[in-house]
Amino acid sequence: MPVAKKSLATTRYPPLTARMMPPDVSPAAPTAVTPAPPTAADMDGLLLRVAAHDKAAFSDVFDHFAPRLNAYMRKLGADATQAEEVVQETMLQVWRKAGHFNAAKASASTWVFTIARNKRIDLLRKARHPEVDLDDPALVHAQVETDRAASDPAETRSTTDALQLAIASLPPEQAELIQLAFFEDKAHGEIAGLRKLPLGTVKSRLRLALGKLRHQLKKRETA
Amino acid sequence: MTRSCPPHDLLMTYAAGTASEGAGLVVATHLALCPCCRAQVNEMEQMGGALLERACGEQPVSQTCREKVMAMLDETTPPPSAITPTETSLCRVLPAPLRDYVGCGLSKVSWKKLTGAIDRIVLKECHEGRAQLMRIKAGSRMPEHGHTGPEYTLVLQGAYRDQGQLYRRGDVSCCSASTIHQPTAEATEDCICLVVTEGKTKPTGLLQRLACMVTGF
Repeated sequence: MPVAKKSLATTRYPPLTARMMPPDVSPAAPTAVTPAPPTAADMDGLLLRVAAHDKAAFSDVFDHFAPRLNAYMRKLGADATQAEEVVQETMLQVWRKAGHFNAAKASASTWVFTIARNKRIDLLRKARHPEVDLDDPALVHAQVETDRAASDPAETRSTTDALQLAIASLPPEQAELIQLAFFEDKAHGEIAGLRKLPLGTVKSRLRLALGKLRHQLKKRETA
Repeated sequence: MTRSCPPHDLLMTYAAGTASEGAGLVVATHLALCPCCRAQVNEMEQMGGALLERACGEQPVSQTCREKVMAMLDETTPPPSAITPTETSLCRVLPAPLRDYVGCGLSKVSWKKLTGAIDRIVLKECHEGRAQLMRIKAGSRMPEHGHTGPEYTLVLQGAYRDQGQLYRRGDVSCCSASTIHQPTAEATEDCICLVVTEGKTKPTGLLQRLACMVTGF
């Protein structure tokens, strides 16, 4: 039974009941107008509440990310059961570790993405994703504070929004390769084979795409 | 100081979670030593997040999945036990992800002799490939290729020279089985490297060792 939601600062979400409809039921009449997706600020706020064990907030976070994570896992070749296993474990990790989420360092979607990436490796590949430990005494620090711009949550959020817009405006041949690199468990060589492109072309287009995105982000920082 | 970093596409596969575990170990260890690559990987992870948000589409999850997750929210996980610093955690030569694979500080490694000039321990070996730590005596030549796929070498201590280029702590070089080269450890100190090979490894039994002796290791 859906629980009555506390009112949120935003009215961007459709009623819980509509979102909880089982996937195989097509509504006879159109449901409520689809609202705009939550902004980075909305998500940050929700995660703060999840960190305080707010289940209604977690429910909204789940409803936003679970279908996306599910689609992401299916693209990477998981079957329905495997995909849901990763979604389940990822969302539980979000619940448990929301207190560790730092809105200044990363956007909510980046944070959730990295959790899902690691869970997939753990559960489906039965392997590990070796991670840097930022508290490691052996860590070499940047000489100049390179992530100065990312030390403020508001700045991180605007960077996130800008990045998403920039991705949407990439030329199709670059956008497609970015998608293939992230959504297909294929080495660049395989991508080259699939698209009948020289490997060098694949590599340089990906570099170009990333460079373009970085340039967009830098433009925003100095604007 | 010029730095030899992993190629861009390797960083991308690491960020995307599609690299092999061995390649991931090389990248993560390098990241501990290279703030520039850390920043690049952060950007790539941001890209992953943005793609998840906007470009993945949506695939609704089953009611069962949702209910399972909601039912587990009240389960409490035990708090993590306090981590007391040990000789392992204080080891400054081996950065964190690699330390876990080695399982001890550098001074406690039980090296196995591969040849007169090379000691090693195998950290992980599976169908994807092999990760090993190698110690090459100062001034000696690095091992011959023993693999069919790509090979990544990350320097942790000392240095080696390959075709005029010097590779020092944190530097990564990548080569294929067909690359012809004769890298040599600098004469100043023993060179310790993480070496990861993908694909099949050629046997390093007696015949290989004899061949190494003949070629003058």
